[in-house]
Amino acid sequence: MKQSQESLLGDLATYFFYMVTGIFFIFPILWSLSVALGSQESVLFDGLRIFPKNPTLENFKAVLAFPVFDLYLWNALKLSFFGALGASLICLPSAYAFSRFDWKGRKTALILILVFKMFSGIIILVPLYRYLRMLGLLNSHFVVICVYIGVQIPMTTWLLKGFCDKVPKSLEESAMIDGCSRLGAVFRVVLPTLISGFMAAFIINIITNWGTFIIPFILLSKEKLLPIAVGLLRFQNFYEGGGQELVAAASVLSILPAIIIFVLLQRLIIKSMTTGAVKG
Amino acid sequence: MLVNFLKKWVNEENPYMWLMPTILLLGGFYLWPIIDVIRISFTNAHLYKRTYNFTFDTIVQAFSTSGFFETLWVTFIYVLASVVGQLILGLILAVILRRATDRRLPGTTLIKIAILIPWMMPGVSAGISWNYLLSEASVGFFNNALQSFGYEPVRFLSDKTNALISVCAANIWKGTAFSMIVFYAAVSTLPSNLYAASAVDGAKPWQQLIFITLPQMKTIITIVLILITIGTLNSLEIILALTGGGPGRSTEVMSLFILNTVFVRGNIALGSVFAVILMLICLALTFAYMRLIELDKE
Repeated sequence: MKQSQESLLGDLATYFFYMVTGIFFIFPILWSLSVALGSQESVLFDGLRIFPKNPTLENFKAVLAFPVFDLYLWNALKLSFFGALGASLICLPSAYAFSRFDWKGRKTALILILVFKMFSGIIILVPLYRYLRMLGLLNSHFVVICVYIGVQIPMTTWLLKGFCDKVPKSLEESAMIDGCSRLGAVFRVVLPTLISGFMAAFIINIITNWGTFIIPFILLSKEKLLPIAVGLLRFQNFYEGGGQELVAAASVLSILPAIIIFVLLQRLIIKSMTTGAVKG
Repeated sequence: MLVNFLKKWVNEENPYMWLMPTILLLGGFYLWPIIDVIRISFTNAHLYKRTYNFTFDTIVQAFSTSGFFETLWVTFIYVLASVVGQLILGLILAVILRRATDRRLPGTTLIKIAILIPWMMPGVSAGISWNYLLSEASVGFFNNALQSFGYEPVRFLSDKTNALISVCAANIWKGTAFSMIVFYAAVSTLPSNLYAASAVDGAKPWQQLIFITLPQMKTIITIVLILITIGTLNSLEIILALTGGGPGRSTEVMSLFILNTVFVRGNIALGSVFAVILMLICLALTFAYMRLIELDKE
């Protein structure tokens, strides 16, 4: 009896805690949404109203009609997509090598790859900017995509290696006994079972790339080439004095894709977050 | 000879062939820039001049650059506050969510999603959201609230100390999901018989937390601590959108300082010296991290 009473008290405390943390984590976004749904007057005069008096989608329409805004979104999609595709494809063979071959220094190499993840983007971007400028390769989406891929290699390799480890070795061994070469066995037997792992790496890369800021911020300067994360900052600086409702609408629009993908695929994403931290 | 060489290396049983694309990309976009940034730090190169000489002067100059020590101090406070905040909040959330999941309390997944959304969104959007929360203009929520209750507005972003606190709060808000998820996974693997045994002996839940949970999680807590430290050292989007590094230099962290030195002032040699200093800090932390991962395996 006493036990269950205590548990009930604990549950009540949990819900109180849920309320406080829920407000803390959601409110800043909710307030942006409220600003985005209000008119210019409501931003200036309504003050505390969390739900604007006459909610309107005008700001969203205005932002989407803004000459370069759809380009920002399009560029972000393009960079995220090809960056994710490239990273997943390039890391497939290396993940396979780490999973199947045993060579001297395999473990060291696996950890060394993680070390790369630790260096800040800004450290590599200072020299990269310098020599890309000399080569006239600034403002190139192709180069930016390559850097996206490079930065994502450590995480993607680890993630895909985990999926590779789960494919039983006996599958390709029996294929090889039946006369397949290793390459043939990989294409016919291993790859088809790796599709879900590949999709996981691809989607997680897309989400990370969508928010990537410092790489395009430094390597791209032409307005037409910027992805949303950088464009948003330009937008904010442009409307410094007034027009916050427009910036808020733009900000909400930039969050939406990430949230939609996340809610659909949360288990997968949560799993990837612990990669390299827990399993070691 | 060439044919023999090719036969020996270019075959599907050679792991290095499989690793080649990764090696090339990491080499070109990581290793080479890292070597280059060290080289530039020993020169007097300027961003828009082609010629330069090798010299130690830039390194000496770095330590007398105005704002360098202030930036180090700001970075230290920013990292310390973010790490402590994210660790404690993440740990509390993990323990509570674990218990709630065991008891199948409805709404638990919803709370998890709520905490993860800030982590998923672009840093600039996070900065903008917090800007509207704390702004001293008519859009700012907190100052609106304070004024409607008859209080004086607070200078959240234009006062030096407050600005630093605001930036830390926003970073804790954005980053806590990571420590929560990792701790949640770690808490789930703790052996349950310890809790059962201690409950028989009359241990209260908070005693179990301090004497069983925390000691068991020592290594993972340290690992998360190092990962958050590195993540915080590398992040500057929130600060750019929230305060822009100001007022004055009060929120100008190391990465922002490097950005300004190189791209605003054009002094790429000096910026490289700062980048190398930041790199050494990251490297030291990384070695600690690797050591712990190995300890954890044993």
